Amino acid sequence: MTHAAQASKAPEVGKPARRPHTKRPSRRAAETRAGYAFLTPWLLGFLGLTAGPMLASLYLAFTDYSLFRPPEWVGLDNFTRLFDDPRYLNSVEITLQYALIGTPLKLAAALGVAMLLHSRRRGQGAYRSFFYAPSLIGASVSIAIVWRAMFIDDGVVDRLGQGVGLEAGGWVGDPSMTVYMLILLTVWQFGAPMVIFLAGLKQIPNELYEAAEVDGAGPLRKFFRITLPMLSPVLFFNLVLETVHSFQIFGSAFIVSNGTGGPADSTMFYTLYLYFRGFRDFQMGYASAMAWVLVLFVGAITLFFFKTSKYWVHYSGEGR
Amino acid sequence: MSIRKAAIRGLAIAAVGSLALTACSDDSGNGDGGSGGDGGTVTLNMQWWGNDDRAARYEAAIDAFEAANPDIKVNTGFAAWPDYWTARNTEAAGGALPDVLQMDTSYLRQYAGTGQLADLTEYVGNGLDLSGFEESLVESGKVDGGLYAVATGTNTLALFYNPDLLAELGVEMPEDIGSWDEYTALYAEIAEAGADRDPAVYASADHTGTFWLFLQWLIQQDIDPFTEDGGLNFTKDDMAAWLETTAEVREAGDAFPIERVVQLEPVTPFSAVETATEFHWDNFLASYVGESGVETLELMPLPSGPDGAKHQFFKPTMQLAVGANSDHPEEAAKLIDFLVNSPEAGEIFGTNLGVPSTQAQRDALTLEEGSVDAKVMAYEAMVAEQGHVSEVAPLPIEGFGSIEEEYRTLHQEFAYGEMSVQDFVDRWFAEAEIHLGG
Repeated sequence: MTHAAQASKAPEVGKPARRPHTKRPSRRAAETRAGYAFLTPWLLGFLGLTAGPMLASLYLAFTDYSLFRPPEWVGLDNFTRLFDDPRYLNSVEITLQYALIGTPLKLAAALGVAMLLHSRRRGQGAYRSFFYAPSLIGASVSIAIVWRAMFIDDGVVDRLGQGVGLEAGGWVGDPSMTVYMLILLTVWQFGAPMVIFLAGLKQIPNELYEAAEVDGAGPLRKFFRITLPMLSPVLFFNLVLETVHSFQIFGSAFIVSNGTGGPADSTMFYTLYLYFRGFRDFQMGYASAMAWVLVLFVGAITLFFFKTSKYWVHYSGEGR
Repeated sequence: MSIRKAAIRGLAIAAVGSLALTACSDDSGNGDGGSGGDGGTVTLNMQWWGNDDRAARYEAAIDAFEAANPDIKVNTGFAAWPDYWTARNTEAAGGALPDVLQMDTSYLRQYAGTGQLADLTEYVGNGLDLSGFEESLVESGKVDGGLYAVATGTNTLALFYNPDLLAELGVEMPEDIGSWDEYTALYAEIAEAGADRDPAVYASADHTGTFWLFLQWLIQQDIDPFTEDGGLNFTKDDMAAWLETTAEVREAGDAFPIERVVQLEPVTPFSAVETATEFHWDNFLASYVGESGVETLELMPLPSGPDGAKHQFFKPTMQLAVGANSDHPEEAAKLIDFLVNSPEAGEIFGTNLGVPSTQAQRDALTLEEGSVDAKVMAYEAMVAEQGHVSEVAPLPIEGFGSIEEEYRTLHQEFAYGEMSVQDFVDRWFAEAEIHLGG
């Protein structure tokens, strides 16, 4: 009895101590509630404008949907057709070409300029704004139009080429050159990754460089042994972002080709072809299938980057 | 539990919020019209494709219509051809087409056959007067027995040429071109004469790249391009034969280079005064003159077929249709009636929408000697009188817009020399099967 009474008393002793515990969840719940309330506008937008349409397009990917008639279930037909479609395969090829060449070049340009701007000198702020400017205006329609004008016969680029003895003519009319024209356009817009690189460079402690200098390291050695490893998390971030971004090229290609994807399909990038199939040819099912293949592919690439990142991305504090 | 409660409360707040938002949008929606009416006024929404020049004409014509019909207000909007169709296609999918919209034969079947357009039959003679129309022109707006579109005017294919440029080159244009071979021979002659100029002048870009011209050529070979049920009525060999008609021109490099065609876009080589001839619809004279600045451009009938006749046809330049979802089809029909019949509108538009469908409007045109309108009118009158126009326009099959675009894109690749005739034909037929079978 006494034992039992003691035993039953024991929790009572603990009770006052637990009271704040029971109170804390309710305060947390209130915060959760408030959090959800603040989230609702975004949540509604996400569900109604992103998640909903995405699910719908997943369904449509398995149908024949002409936009004017109700969709008809066709199973995997849309997906198998992709591999027999020469236009589709061409679009995959040039999009990969664009991403594989454009992304590294853009990151290299961004890093290079970031390093130049990193050193202290007068008017630094002005230089930074100056180099960031192309990214602000680069995505605009007018720049794509100017770009087109620069690369036609007797345009600026052709004249410069003639100056050094090249008689290549304009790039706009040459299907083998148009991809490079667009790659140049994206490389020129290196501002966003540049700013991130610049922030990363500022994080690198100066002592590391001083110590390396004492040990007699040259600039190249310092770059490869200190700057790159220390920047690798930022580099990783930029790489993932820019790769995903480059697979989505649409606007500049659309404008440079006058909304045709030409000449000879040389600017018919993935998303452009998707758009034409959907909105010009009314093959919404086929276009949805293309969209999902792209989503999966970009997802796979991102996953690949994350999986391999442990071999080359060094977070400070790790392994010390 | 608490999370669920929070979610419910959140949803409730959001629901109230969105109600408030929709309430706002309702208010403003009624405020600036849409298609709602109060106090007896009806507001129509009208959309068309075209450029600034056409915009000014539509504005003037609509003003005149509103003056004559004070109880109807018309809101208009316009876009260039490709954007126009992207917008209409999305609207059609959502059942939200404008009350009145400009329509083209290549899309008519797609829209009418799937119930997107209002049948105008009940308004004919009852607000919509078509008595001034040629029977065949009325027919061109019919699909499966219903009347879904009214032609604003007619056009037919023509060979445009630049007499001044030809004179400078010392090349004489034949009075009449008796065969396609005779026309093709001009490529070599003009390419040679224009080689020394900067930029070099050619006869034309390879004309086999124009899908309509291929259809016209088929008709001359006595082949109806399409079947009644919307299929193809020509073979791969027919298309290959057409492409082969300019094989020598391509081999000799006498056609206007495709690299340059692409760079000149959206202007054509003829407008840039870098070719001496070009095939197109006759109503393009206005834009040719406008873009090139050459007032003296001329137009003539097409080369003849194997039997020595031209076998040309009149096609509706463009059409006007009413969205099936329109709340005011009667007023919409009234607006169409005004645009195609009233002499006032006829005078405003000139031949901008084609040579007007009705005699009343044709008579209303003020034609200056040698003006663009006068030339186009005279050309159409001449081809009709001489019997060059003897055929009806090919049936507007569903998916026409897509197969035409497919042809254009493939031909561009072909012109770069990246494809054989056989590859071209195989790929086009494979695509056409998908477009027309679906």
